[in-house]
Amino acid sequence: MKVDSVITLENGVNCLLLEKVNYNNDNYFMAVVLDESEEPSEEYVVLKEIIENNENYVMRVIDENILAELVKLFTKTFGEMVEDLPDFEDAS
Amino acid sequence: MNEGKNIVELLNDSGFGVKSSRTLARELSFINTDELIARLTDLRREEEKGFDLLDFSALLNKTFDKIEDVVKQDRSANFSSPDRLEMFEDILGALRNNFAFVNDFVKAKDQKNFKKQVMFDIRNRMDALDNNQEIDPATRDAQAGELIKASRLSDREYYDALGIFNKKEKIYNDNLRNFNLHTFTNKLLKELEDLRKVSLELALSPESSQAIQKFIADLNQDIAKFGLEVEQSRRELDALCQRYGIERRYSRDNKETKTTELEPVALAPEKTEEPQEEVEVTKEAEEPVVEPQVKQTAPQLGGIEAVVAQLRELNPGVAVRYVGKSYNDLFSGKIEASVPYSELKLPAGYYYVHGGISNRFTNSKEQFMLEVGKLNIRELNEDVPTQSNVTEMNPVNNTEELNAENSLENREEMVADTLENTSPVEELESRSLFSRAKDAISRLRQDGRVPANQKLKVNRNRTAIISPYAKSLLTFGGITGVALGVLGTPIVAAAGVGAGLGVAAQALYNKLAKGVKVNELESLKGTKYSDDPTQAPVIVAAYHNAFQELMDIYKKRKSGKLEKTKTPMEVAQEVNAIEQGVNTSLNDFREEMRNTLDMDEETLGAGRVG
Repeated sequence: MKVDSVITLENGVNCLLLEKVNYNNDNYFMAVVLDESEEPSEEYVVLKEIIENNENYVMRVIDENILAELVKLFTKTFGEMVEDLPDFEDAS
Repeated sequence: MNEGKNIVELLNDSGFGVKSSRTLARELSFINTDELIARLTDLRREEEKGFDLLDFSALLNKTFDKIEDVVKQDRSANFSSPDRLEMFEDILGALRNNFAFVNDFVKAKDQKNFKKQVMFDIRNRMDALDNNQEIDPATRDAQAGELIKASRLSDREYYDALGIFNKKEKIYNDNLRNFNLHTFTNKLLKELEDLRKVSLELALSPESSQAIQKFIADLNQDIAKFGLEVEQSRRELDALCQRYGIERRYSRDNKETKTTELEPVALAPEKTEEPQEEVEVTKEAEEPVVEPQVKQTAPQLGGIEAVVAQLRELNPGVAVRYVGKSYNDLFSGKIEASVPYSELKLPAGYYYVHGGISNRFTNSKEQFMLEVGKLNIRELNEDVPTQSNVTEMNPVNNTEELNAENSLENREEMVADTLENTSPVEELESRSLFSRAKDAISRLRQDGRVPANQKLKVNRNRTAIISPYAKSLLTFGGITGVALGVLGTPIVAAAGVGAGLGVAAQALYNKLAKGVKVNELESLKGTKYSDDPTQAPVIVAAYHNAFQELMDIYKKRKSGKLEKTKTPMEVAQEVNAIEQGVNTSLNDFREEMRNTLDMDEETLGAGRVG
């Protein structure tokens, strides 16, 4: 799985993957849940990537200790993402 | 209850007494006395532990040494500005100086103990000599002479050390007596921030710079955590004493007053008893907190009730009540307040989380994560207050604020509307629409659309087309949401999240606002809590608000609703155009004037008499 992609989970929920970090050799994604119109909702989730038998699974993370570490990593990556932003006019 | 005498005796045994018999008698109807006594005893024990400045000082000094070592061992540091290096040393010195009285006390104690050991060693050798029957008299006398001489010297040195120790101990106790946790930690944090800033200006290798920032982040955490548990216990004890009409009968000055004040004494080699000594050092209690008029709110002792009592105490003019169970499993209970939870002044150790408050990242024995709902005047009027609910309502004048609708309330009311036809009749009768709506929202929040800790197969994966700005904004919203809602810890927020988010959010704003006219965002200017890491989640909350404002700017800019600012080139061109216009006008004016003058001259000439 990679950022800038929409995944559809087995329960029919769509999530837009925004950011990816690696923590303790596992990949984690910051994702926003999309509503029925495929618009971003106010629900954000942190998903752990699980690959089994060449199939992708995710698990929503709620462990506060892991989230604490992940938020730091996400913040760092977010800072780099902002640094690389082009001028607004160029990005449109 | 008829066990009044028993409870008084139990209170006395635990170091408490009755201050208001009427209050206690009234409250006894609602509590389990065993629980009360047990809780009071626990809190007293916590309170008496006091602030462990000795360990705290040792911990911090160790890290100060590490920071200094990093700079000293980094050759690049020699290329730093001498002013910056000097400032770095000065700030580090100032930080250490905060613990000078502790360090002096510890050194004096170590020295005293060392001298005491030497003194005892010599005495043991003297005893061994006396018991040695195989030694010849001449040798015995010679050795005895040496040992007596050494003994007199070691006695003198010990008494000298003891005198110094007693003086340092008195200074230490005096400092503890006047100790204010917040003043102390805030000063440390400010100096630490100064150290962080100046360290960034030193010429250091990236590894050294990173190491120092890590040490400083660790120090931030240690300082933020220091004393929270003791202070919370004190406050809870104060609140319980007030609520149940009891008072402490034990001394809060306790052990620290045992200073011996021993002056160095005249040598007395023949003296056999041990010198008078020491001293179990503790700390001085802080000033008692002014108690609120807390009334009974629920029949259960302590716990969330005590938190509610503290919130009322800290937030005069704000109505706070205990509701009971939260429908969200994340929370251990639910309370309501007449102001948004983020505006509540919190008891020590508590911090804001998304939708509530918590003290889960403290060492407190009672750790709560409390959902804080909005207590609405309308609801108060609609619901008949039960005895266990609203008991003390301070008038809240800011009705505008209370009536202000936020998105959550809108959603709650929408859900309530949808529930109206499906809910049981008796529920409709017993609970207000508003309360049911909030409960419904809580249930919805319980898991969200992606259940937690459940492995879900990814059935489909497709590439999304998203602009980099939209992606950045969504990411920012996600980080602040997760940080605020789940993380919540002041330690992590202060150390790793708050500052980093602030810098990145400001950069995002700068790029979004570049070339268009937008107001500055107050939420990005820091908060009044900037110096208080225990309130650091407020900073994250501010950034969470900033997310919405940034999103507004983005949307307006996307739809072309924002007026563009002029580039320097455009401004220069305009100035040129204006100048040219002015010049043209001036030239035209001059020409016109010249023509007028010529005409007048001609006119005058024509009339001139030749």
